[in-house]
Amino acid sequence: MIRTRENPLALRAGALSVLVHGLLLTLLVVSFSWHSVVQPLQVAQVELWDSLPTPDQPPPELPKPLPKVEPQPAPKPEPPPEPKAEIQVKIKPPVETPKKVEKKPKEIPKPKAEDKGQDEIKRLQQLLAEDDKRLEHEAQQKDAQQLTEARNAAEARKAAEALNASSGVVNEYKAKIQAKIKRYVNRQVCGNGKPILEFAISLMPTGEISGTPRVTRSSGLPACDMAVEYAIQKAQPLPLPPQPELFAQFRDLTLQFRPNEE
Amino acid sequence: MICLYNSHMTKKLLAIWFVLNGLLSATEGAALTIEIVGGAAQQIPIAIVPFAQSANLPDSLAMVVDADLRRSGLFRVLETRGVASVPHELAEVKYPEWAALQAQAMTIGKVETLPGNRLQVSFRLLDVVKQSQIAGLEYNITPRQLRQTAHKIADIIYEKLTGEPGVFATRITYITKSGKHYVLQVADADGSNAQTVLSSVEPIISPAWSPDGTQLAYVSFEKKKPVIYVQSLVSGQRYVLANFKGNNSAPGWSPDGKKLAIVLTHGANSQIYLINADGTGLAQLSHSNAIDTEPTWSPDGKWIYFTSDRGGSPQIYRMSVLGGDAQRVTYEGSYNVSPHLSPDGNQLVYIRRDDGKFRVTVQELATGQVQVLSDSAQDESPSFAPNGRLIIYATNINGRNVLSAVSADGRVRQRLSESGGDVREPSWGPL
Amino acid sequence: MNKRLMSSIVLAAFLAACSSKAVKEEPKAAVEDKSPTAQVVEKAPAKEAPAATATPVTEQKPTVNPLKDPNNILSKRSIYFDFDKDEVKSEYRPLVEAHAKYLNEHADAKVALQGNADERGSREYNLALGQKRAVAVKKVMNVLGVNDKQIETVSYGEEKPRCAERNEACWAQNRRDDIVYQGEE
Repeated sequence: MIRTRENPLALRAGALSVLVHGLLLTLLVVSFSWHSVVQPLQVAQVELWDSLPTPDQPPPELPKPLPKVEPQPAPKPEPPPEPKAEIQVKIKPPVETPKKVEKKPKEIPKPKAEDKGQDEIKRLQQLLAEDDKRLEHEAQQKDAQQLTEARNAAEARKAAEALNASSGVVNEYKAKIQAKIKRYVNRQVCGNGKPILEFAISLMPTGEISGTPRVTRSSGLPACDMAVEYAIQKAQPLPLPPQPELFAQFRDLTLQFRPNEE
Repeated sequence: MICLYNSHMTKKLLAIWFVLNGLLSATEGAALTIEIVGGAAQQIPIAIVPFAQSANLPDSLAMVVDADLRRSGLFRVLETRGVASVPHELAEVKYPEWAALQAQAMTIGKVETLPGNRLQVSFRLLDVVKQSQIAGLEYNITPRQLRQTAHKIADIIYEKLTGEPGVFATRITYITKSGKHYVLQVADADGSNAQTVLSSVEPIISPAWSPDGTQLAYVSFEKKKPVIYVQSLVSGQRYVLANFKGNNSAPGWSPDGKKLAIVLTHGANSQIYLINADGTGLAQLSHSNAIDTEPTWSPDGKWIYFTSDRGGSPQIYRMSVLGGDAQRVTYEGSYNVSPHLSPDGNQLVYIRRDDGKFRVTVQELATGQVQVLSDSAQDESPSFAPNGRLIIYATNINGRNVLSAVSADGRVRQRLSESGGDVREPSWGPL
Repeated sequence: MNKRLMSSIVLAAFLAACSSKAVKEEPKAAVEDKSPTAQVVEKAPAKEAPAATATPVTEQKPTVNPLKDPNNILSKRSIYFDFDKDEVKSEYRPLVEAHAKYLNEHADAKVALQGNADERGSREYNLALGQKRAVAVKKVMNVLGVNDKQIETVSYGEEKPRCAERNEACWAQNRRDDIVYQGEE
């Protein structure tokens, strides 16, 4: 049974929730350009839910939309659209935007549109009435929205740059660690085959190992394992990037050794 | 309740989920994998702490172990004299002192006297970084066995840290010549403790160990011609294995010790024959008009590698022990002689003449890759140690024939101690 | 008185004739003798004793064994070879031929052909090389009619060098085959 639920506090909760999500999601949205908020009236399909879907539950039945979701970041966070969506469909504030309803669902809802037929017409009439209310709200929130939009965009840009830069630094220090440990690996005691060894280590910000290295994959030759573990120990302190925020990526390392290969 | 998933909702949910996951990974640090491919040919740094032992014992255990490990080329034996403490018991070990020395491992030990003029030798091999014991053993011995025990301790250290068996407790044989006096001897792998097997005024050549190490086959000229004898190292008794018309020489034991390959001339050129260890069952193996000599068995007992000049100059060939055609093995240079196989059968060591210089050379049989291991000019008689790691050979330094050992990869070379006189024809005994 | 002088002179002349006869026999015997000892020589002193004027026997004792006669090619016993080679060079052919001839003429004579090599290279290979050289000389003798029953080949490789220096002059000396007759050395 489908019914509409009235929740007077939903608006506020929804707005806050939308803001948070907007911040998170702008990282993927930076390059996207937006058309004006106000759209000519179009047929909008609305579905009513009886329970609020939580953001971290991926709908298991539709794996297909995934590729489409990423290039056109579906959760385009725009505060005005979301409250709008909330007014229209009060139970789905985090997800729905009219734009999305218009643009993307063009592909997917089509099959559904075929199904709905008569029910659609009734719903549309309801929508038209609510659209007027929506337009008023939009005008009010336009300024606020533009501000947050600008702020989000700026933050998104900065975050993306940081991400690019940090991955370069990470690779640089991966290579430094690799080179420093390799110097101490005694490959003379690892037999004639092509053994593979793996060790899990935990690092402290000083570059020293906390605890002892854990063998997660042995070479099968005790002397070889011993020699490689010795090399790891000898290589302390391991070189770490100066940016503290990047240390987190190096706190736990998996070291894979192939001592007899070039 | 019918939940109709909205596609937009779905996409947004999925997107949020993946983005959050991605951010979570970035911020909370999933394990980065770093690949380290290759390494270096390192030496293992080890500290050998002098053993607690009475001053009137004939050998210093630590010194014998030190010399053995050094000679292998795989260890860097650290100077311990500067360290404050000299531990002999586990409780006395202060690991940070030894870590400061950059040691990966260390040994401690002691010798105590037991009633009945016996000795108890105990030692421990310790991991300096992990601060734990790798091995520890006790031996109850006579004083005469002290040096041999030191070699056994060196073997254990070597094996634990390299994964290969040590050869420090093995023996070698060789012949010394002083004027017209020839002596066939057997000694420890480090050249000490030599014992006489045969003494003669006529030449002795080509000693060969039986696979179990209890007998030596050799060629003696005491009958004014080369004759092959087999002598027991346990009883000293010997018998004539082959005294056919012409030359009898180049004995090579089969891996199971039941047969030997030998070279006879019967009045014609040198050819290879097989014979039972008791002298029966002579059968000709090679049939060529050239010189075929220096037969040596592959470890699997299926092939005989030998020197032949059937192609015009001496090269190394191999043929099945069942007979048949021979295949050529060496292709570089115009003079390759004295083949011996490594214990794993993968490598061949021989003497190669280049520009008038005779040098120990190793060939990888699978790839044909060749490496010259020495830079002297008069090398002869090379053979592998039973762990395949070292090669012993005779060479000439300042006009005297001496024994040398080189690691199979050519990195480390050492002269072995000898008692004086000309030393030649070495052969390394089994494990 | 004149008659006695004349008869003594005639008698003396007869005696002189006798003594010269004995001298002629000896040289012949010496040449045909194949053993080192010249047995025939001993007969002469017995004959010569009464004829004190006969030539002293010692001068007629040329008991030179051709095998040891320095003027005889048979006293040369070594054939020399080039490095790593076993061909009998043409300069040694006459030597081999002379010994082959001797063996053919003395069916009781036996030789050992002792092959040698210089010190360079492996001992066993040099043992085989020395053997090859001995066999090479043997084959030349076979071609010249000598039976294998009279020949034994053996090799000393590099074990019996004539000199010990590390130079070509010495090495050349050691690359050889020696012909040793049975009963010698």
